[in-house]
Amino acid sequence: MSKDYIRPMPKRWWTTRPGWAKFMLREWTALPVAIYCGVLIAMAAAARSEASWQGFCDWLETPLSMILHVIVLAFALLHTVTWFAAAPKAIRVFRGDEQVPEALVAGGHFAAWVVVSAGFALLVVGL
Amino acid sequence: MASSATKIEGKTVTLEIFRYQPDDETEPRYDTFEVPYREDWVVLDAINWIKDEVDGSLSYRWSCRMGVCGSCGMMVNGEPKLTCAVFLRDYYPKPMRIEPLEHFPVTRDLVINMDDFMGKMEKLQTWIVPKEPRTIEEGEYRQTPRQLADYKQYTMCINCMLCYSACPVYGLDSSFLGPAALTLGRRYSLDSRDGAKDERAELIQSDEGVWSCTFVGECSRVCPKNVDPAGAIQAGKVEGTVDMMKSMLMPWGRK
Ligand code: SF4
Ligand code: FES
Repeated sequence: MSKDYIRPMPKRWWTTRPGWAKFMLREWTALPVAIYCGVLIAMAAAARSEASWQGFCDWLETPLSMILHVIVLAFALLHTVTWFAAAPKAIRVFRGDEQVPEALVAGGHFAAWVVVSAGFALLVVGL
Repeated sequence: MASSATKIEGKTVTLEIFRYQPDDETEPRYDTFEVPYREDWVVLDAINWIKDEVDGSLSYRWSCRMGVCGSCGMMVNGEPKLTCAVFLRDYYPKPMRIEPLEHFPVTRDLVINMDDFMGKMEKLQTWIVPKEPRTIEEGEYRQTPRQLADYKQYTMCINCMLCYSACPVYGLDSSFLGPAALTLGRRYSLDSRDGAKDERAELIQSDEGVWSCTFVGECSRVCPKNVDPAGAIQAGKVEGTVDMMKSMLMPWGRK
């Protein structure tokens, strides 16, 4: 037994298989989302005076802000979709003696997402 | 490099096979074999052909050749597969690289050492520990279809360990109990006839247990039996969290 050959994992193991790379990407989606919290904090701070608010709005229209928003949106979407797709793994629902199909549980999450987003959109547009 | 002495009629396919012979060498090597290509051959057939026709010293495990015994798992082009369940035609005409299941020590050629996995199953008591002993006269332990549905999917596991080869967490630190053992632990804990739920929960909720899982999800993708170990582990996390909340909010109740 002592002569068993051990194959260590390569240092950059996540580059060796597509499934592992996808996992790393999903983990990293947290970073842009965290960065965006900074933008939200800046917004809250800017709301204190008219002048600073105007400054914040002007920054929003800069190309840098546009690019940042597109990147963050892309990652937030990836984060959300992978999260909801994974939800049925943690939540096993039974009806009678049968397990409710995973697609239905995931679909429920996506439906709720659409409804809540639409609600917010209405609220914002309505204001 | 070994090559076939037998003349092969018709199409052939190349197999590159991981060899490790601890008696003669300290490092592994790869041997290349030309194998006849047949539409209806699985990868295991090709490996058997090599052993019969070219190199009798090639070591590997197999038994049922029909995807139920779980002993023929190997890496085929970097993916953990049951070699009796994948066909040459799935890869042809590309060459195939056959290696022992990753993340396990290699004993010889394609044979891995599975002591670690066996130990984990033992630790988790992956069998029914009866709630109350019964005599034969008292009859069978009864269960409703709903009680069976709770764990039925997990009973499909054939202990092939492909999920361990797909798991980077186990690859990096083999103290992790891993997909199949945790799933089987859950399978027995969910069984209405079982009485060792609390003992298992201690392990399942420990650092070696479900909380080491980062939910890569590859174990469920490679599982040939749709056991969905990733699902079982996430459900275990939910259960552990609920139990913890309960014991915090109602310390007087059952934990
Ligand atoms: S869970 Fe699936 S991949 Fe893992 S040992 Fe069981 S059957 Fe094999
Ligand atoms: S030989 Fe039994 S599963 Fe492949």
